[in-house]
Amino acid sequence: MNIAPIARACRSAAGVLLLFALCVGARAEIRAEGNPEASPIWQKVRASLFQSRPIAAASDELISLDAPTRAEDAAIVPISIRTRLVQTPARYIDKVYLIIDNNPSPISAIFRFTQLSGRADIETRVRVDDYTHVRAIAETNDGRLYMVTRFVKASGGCSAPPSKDAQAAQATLGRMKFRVDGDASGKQPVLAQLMISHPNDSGLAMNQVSRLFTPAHFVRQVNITYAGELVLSADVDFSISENPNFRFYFVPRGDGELKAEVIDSEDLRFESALPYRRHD
Amino acid sequence: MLVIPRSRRLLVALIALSGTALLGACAAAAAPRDLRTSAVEVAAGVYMLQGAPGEVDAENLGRTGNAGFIVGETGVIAVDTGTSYRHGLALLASIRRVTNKPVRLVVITHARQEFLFGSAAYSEQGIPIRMHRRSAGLMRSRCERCLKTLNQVLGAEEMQGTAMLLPDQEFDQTHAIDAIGRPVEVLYFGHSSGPGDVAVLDRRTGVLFAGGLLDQLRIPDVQDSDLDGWTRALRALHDLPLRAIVPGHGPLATPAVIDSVERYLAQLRALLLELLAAGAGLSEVPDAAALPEFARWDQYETIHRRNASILFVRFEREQMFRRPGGHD
Repeated sequence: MNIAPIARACRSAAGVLLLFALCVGARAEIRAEGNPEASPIWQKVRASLFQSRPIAAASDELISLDAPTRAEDAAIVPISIRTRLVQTPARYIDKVYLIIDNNPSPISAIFRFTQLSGRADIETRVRVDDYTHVRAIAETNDGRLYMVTRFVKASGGCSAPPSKDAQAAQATLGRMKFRVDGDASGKQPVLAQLMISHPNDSGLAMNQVSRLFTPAHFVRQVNITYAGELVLSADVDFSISENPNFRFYFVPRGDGELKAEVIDSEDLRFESALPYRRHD
Repeated sequence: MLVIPRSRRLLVALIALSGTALLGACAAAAAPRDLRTSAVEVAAGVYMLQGAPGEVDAENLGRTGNAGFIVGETGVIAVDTGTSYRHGLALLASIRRVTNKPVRLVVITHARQEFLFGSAAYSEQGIPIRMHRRSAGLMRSRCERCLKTLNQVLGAEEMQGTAMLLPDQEFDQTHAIDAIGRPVEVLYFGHSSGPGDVAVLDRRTGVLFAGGLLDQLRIPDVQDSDLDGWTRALRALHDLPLRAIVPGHGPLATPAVIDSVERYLAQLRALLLELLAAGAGLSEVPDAAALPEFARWDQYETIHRRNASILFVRFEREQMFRRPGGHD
């Protein structure tokens, strides 16, 4: 009997339940913005990710976080992380953590950058479940941590039903498209975008008609390479919106192929490649 | 005659003033708002009950949607049921103040919260609720969540008795209603502002209850829409003999409102396709999608920005699969 999938399911179920418990416990405090440090969920996440390492407040020079104060659509909230640091061997941003305190899964993404990233910028779309602090924490190569925080208000309201057309989603599952906005002057780093067709179901949304919970099925890892070398790697989960979408930079040294490899929670793998030629 | 000596006049005046203020305050506390909704006759036998502007909040009791009714020889057809059981009761009371004729049925024009949560009040009085099959489907798939939010915003007391009710009668097509001795039609144009959105036309006066298809001086909501289908529906509306339009939100309108909505949708589409071609990121879209011509419409700061985000993502996805127009 193969227990690995069962063990994994139990672990993830337990993980989800634990996070649920954390959220329920902290419910009373979440509506008011309050002091970001005081968030009990943040304290737990901080302890688990960073133990007692000091986290400095980030200056705009290092990392800034753009998020709408009031989310237009709670299911697709654009998050934009911008850095001013040019990635050099001497000093670079190694990782950026994206934390959404009041989401069922607060650790929404961990992005890993390389020299080939050019800049540790990343833009994506997330689901925001309730009024919450959103945090981007940059870890530089010297092991220092810097955090920038925003408060996002997202209310339920009458949004479109979660799973609009499960069959259509299945038909296009894993289809991906790259879009590269390189310009003729060969300016670098080059801006690119990866769009992945995937329902990114959390497993926590109940279909109001069938009364069944749509099973969890979400992208958990994205690896982007250029000419065979890693540009960006992302550990993600269902905090990322349906049809995950990532804007990022890369530094093309010579001609090559921009390639994405995506793995989801069912261990399905998808790939896409786009040939790229430098214009200079 | 009461003669007040001069020396006392100021004192008496002050007492009278404070007395009135006190009475006023007491009156205000007892009845914080006038809960009656007054019906306005917009054409012979056709009445409109106008909702409040703005967003659903505790101040307006969420009563932001329009409703109405048509009085025929043998009865009344009501259009839309309001935001809560209490609202439904108020709407029915308004009908009762105009006529004693029985309300034969109520047509729900589209599946949005401020048009259907008063249904329990109608059902209680044995009035059948009629909805397009696809509106009923949309309602069943998401309106429970709306109800939760309404309870949070308006409070359990205001929302008491409110429930999501499935319609008694579902239909798929345009059809005539024969029930009140006056020609009334329910018009369906396919998936337009919403999958099951319909308009109700009073043939005698040319008044159209437009539901989700048309809003006057308020940003139309694209969330449930099929943009192409909506544009087709609006073109079809031009061909109808219309004299006046009761929009889903906003004051009574002339048929010029059809052009306004067409213009808004066309400009929004064009602007977003431009932004998409220019490589804009979604976070830039709400600000970049400003359309000053419509900035004075109600909900420009909220619904318009949301429209821009929703459509941008839709167009982005369509381009990914190179599928022209349509709804996901």
